[in-house]
Order: sequence, then structure tokens, then C-alpha cells
Amino acid sequence: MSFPGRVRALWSRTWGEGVNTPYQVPGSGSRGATPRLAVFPLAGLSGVRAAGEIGLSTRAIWEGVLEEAVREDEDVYYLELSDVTFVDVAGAGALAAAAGRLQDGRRFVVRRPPSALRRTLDLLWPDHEGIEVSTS
Amino acid sequence: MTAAVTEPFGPLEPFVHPALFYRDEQEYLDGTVPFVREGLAAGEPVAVAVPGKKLELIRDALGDAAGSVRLLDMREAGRNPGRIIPGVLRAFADSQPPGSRVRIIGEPIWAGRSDLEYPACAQHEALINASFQGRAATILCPYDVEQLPEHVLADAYATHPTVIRSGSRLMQDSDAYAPGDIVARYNEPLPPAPEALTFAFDAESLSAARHVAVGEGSRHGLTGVKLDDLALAMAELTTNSVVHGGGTGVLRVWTEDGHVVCEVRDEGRLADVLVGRRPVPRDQRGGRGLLLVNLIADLVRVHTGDSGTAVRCWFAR
Repeated sequence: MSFPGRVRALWSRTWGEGVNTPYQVPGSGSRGATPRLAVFPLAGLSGVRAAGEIGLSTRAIWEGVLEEAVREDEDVYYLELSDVTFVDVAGAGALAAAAGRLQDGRRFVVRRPPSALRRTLDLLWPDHEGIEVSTS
Repeated sequence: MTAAVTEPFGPLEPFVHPALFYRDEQEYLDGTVPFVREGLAAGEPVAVAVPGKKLELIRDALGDAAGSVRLLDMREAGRNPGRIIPGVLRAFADSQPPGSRVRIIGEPIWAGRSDLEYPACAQHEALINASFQGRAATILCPYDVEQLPEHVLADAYATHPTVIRSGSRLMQDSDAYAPGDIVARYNEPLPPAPEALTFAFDAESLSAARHVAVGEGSRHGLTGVKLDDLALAMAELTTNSVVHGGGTGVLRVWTEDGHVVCEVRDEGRLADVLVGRRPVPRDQRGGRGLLLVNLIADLVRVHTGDSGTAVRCWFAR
């Protein structure tokens, strides 16, 4: 997957004091570009498949997804995250907050999330209330 | 000296935080075991978080009563001093029924804590007071007077409002109590970074910064959860720089004594001394980034001031 966008960062190695030779991040793939988050409806299920990463630049998209999910009627809302490469703490927090707003009996099923999301949930929201993490 | 002398651990202010100075095993047990038993007898939840060998001593001395005490090896639970308040002390205290008075033995400073770790340890001890102000808790902090250097013992008088001298059963006020001074004094510039990969980032290159850090971490031998932890920490620190630290920052990654070290510098200033140490209420949306960094890193050191903020994290390989 390639993400369009300009490489702005200076990536350099510093050898000793004052020597700082800037050069561009090699390649123009996901490494240097502003990441995006694409969201697609799931066929035949209440839920979405997301692709990309969840961080500062995509937080609004992710929160929009969760906002809609909270308003759905089905008991289970699927979040297929196998093509999401990273979720930061605020992204995990948005998920936990949305789960807390689900009506009784409803839950999120988070499928194949990146390991960083599981780690964050385990440490900061250990009871995962309203969030079922599925590895299949 | 104007110190008032009171019976050990009572009568109680809401928060009691004595340093216990001990010379040998016997003084250690004389100072800790009755403290635990007295708490259990009063129906108080009791936790003991001390280095492994000391934990064994207390466990053996307590016998069957040890089963009623939360026992934690501080070398693991408190490896990073910055996580002891949220991950050990408040985690235990806050999980008790409302209104319970809690009793904790916490020994965060032992012979073998490195010069790199010590400033974070001293700040931790000082910040316990702010974190527990007004809470019904007694936190007893043992200090090994035979093994620890003089300046560490002197600092303990500044970080603890009360002290129990070696061989004594009496808790006295410390006339050197000045926790704010300790927090300020150990807000030290970090040792110079060695030759290192250096990456300047802004809002558009946050993802790139994380990839660069993870690439270096991997090249230096981090795998699995450790690599995830490094990615999470770098994402939080670089995002903080963009959102709160002036919009840009500089990331550095290198190796040091079996650790991968990552540092993020920006032009912001951390005004809240308890940031990253305060448990976050469940219904609060944000504010967990530095808390997570403290929970996952093996050591976090911070230097903040008018010239900017540097946060350095160590991850054991």
C-alpha cells in the first residue's frame, strides 16, 4: 500500500558534534508519508474494515467511525483491523470511550488488531468492557 | 530540632509517609513485619513492594499471614521509578473499597540502582506526597543505611515528612522535609547522547518518526512486545511534541548497556509534575500517553525547563 504525501522530515545520522547531514527518508512509501485511514463497510455485517494507521492525523476519521458505530442497532459491531498497522493511545482511548457509551448488551468485536492496540488495552483498560478482541 | 515524637504509625494524619532506616536484616524485619501485622489486625488492605530478597524475608517472617498481603517484587513492578505511583501504589490503593485505609511498604531505592536511575527514584519519592495528599494511606519506605550512599539517605529526609531512625521504633518529623526542592534538584539535564540516529519531525512526519525509531530498535535487537512498546512510546512522545511542545521535535535512538534508548526533545515545558504518574479516571478521554510510557519503559528520565523538554526512555533488549 502506498500513501501519497510529501516527505518533510530530515533523517540524518549525527557523527560527533555539529555534523548533521540531512537526507531524505529512502523511498516514498508509508515510511515517510502522512498516513491515512481508509474505511470500508463490511459486507453482510454491521461494521467496518479499516486500513492504514490510527494516530494524530487520522484520529478524527477513527472517532467518526466510532461515533457512527455507537448509534447502530445490532448487538455486535465489527471493527476489522487486520490492515491497520498501528493504533496510538488516543486511538485506543477513543475505542474504550465509545465502548463505554454502547447500550446494554451491545459490544465491539475488534478483529485482528495490531499488537500495539492489544498491549494498550491490556495496560490501560484491562477489563476491556464492551470490547471483544478476536484474533481470527 | 523541633521534631515531635509519636508512636509508630499513629495517631494518623490521612497520609503518613515515613522513611524507615535499617542497618541489618533484624532491623528490617523489626520495622516492617509489625507494620504489616498491625495493618492486618486493623482490617486494612496491605501491600509489600520491595526487592525480591527482602520480599522473601518478609514473606517468611509473616508465615500464614503472608497470604493476606499483596506481595510484589519492586525490581520488576518498580523497575522504572516513574511507574511506581500509578502502577503499584495508587493501583493498589485505588482498587480497595472506598473509605479503606491502606498500608503499603514501598522500597524503590536499593543498592544497585544506577546513577541514571537515581534522580528518577528521588523524584518519585518526593512526588508520592503530592499524589497521596489527603488520602487515607500509610506508605513506609525502607532505606538500607549500610548499603546506600550518604546523599541518598540525606534525600530521604527531604522526601519523607517523617522518619524512623535505625534501631528506633519511633516515628519523628523530619526537619529537612522539602519534596519540591528534590523534584527541582533532580530535574537534571540528561547526560549527553552519544553518536545517534537523529530525526527531526513535525505533524506530517509523526508516522515516519515512529517507523525510524522502530527500525532502529529492531536493528538493535528489540523484538515482539518490546518493539511494540518502543513504537507506542515514540508515538506518544512525538505526538506530545507536535500537540503541546511547539509543533516539532527531534528524535534520537541509540544503544547503551543492553538497552535501546530513545529520546524526544522539543521546545515545550512540562508544567505538571505529576503528569504520567497520575491514574486517569475511566471516563476521562485523553491524558494517558505519558502514563503508558511510564508503564512500559524500563526507565524514563525527563528534563524540562525554559529551554525545552527532553524525555529519554530505556528499553531492555
